[in-house]
Amino acid sequence: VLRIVSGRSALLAFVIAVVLSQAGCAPVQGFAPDPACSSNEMAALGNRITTAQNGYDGDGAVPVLAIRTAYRDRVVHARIAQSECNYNEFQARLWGDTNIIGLASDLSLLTLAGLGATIGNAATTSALAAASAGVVGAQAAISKDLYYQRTLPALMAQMTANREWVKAAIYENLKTDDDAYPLSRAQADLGALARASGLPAAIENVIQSATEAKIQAEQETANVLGVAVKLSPSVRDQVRALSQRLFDDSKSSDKAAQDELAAISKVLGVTKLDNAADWQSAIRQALFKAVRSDTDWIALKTKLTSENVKP
Amino acid sequence: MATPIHVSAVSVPAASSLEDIQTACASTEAILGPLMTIGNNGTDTILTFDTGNRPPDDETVLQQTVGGTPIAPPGLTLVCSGHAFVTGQLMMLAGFAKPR
Repeated sequence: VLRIVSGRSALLAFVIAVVLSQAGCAPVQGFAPDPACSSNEMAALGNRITTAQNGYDGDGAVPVLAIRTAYRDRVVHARIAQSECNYNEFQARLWGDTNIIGLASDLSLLTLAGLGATIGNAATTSALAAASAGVVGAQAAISKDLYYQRTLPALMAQMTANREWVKAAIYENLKTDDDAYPLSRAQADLGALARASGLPAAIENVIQSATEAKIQAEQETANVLGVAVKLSPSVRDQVRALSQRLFDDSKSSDKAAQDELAAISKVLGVTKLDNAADWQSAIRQALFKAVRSDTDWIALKTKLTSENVKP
Repeated sequence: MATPIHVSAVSVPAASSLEDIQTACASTEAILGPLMTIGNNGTDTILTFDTGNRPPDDETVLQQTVGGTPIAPPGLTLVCSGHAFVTGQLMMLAGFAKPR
């Protein structure tokens, strides 16, 4: 009996030792391994892609659209399945890799302020804003807990969303045949799927969201110059040429250029400004107000000609 | 909020089609300068333009983005994106420029 108890204790001690050693050395992954992504399955996927790609290339010489489309679909579906596995592994590594903390302090500089502006409740927002402010002075103060609990999930959610959007577009295109959506185009979209799976795209999106929120806030109170004009392509080109010349004139100290600016300024009723950049900007704003249609442009051309300005 | 002197904001009626917004953007860009931002004020689409820069030779191409992620078509680069009114509905638009 003693031998049995002793044996059980030894086994228990061994199990505890194994668990503790794993906890100390290996990161907690947070993701269960997907059996569909085992090395055997991945190798099988690779073979399936090669076979389908060979079939596609082989039949490409013969215009059998239905066969080509079927091969295309096989390649794309297998590549997406491969991509899913790679992405799951990437996510698991992000969660588990303790080295990510080094990346965390870099990311926090880029993302915490943006995330604070765009996600979460008030508590999250203030925690992120506080961390963002603190990281500049003391990177070490960024807590692993905050990073894992706030920043990383948001970035992962963004990456997953980015992938879903690209995948949705690919699946939509796969409804058409290979003539409308050839494998070469699908390959380019699969490249976009790979790019959408990365942290850079997610960070970019987060920053973009924050920027858009800021722009939106500004635009709600912006001083609007007027309703955007709609000109015919030929008039658009003529007005563009004049507007480009206004800009070029403002950069030039040449007398002819300055005279032209003054003449156009006079026609449009703009007071001369000391700063040439401000002046040309004011003239172009006046030009926008004066040219509301093709007819307005014709009338303005007459006035400019009378002031010896080539429209 | 005062608009900076070299930034001009213009509105496009909310009922405008994407084609109308495209024409309005191209026409205004020819006068005011490169498109800077796309957005809205809750009533109309608001586009801002950089009057501190030379009007571009190429016109910005506007496209609806699916799911909010602007993916530049081959040969084009993303200029900006934002929520605009297209035939009365708010949707995400992105502006792409042809690099010179």
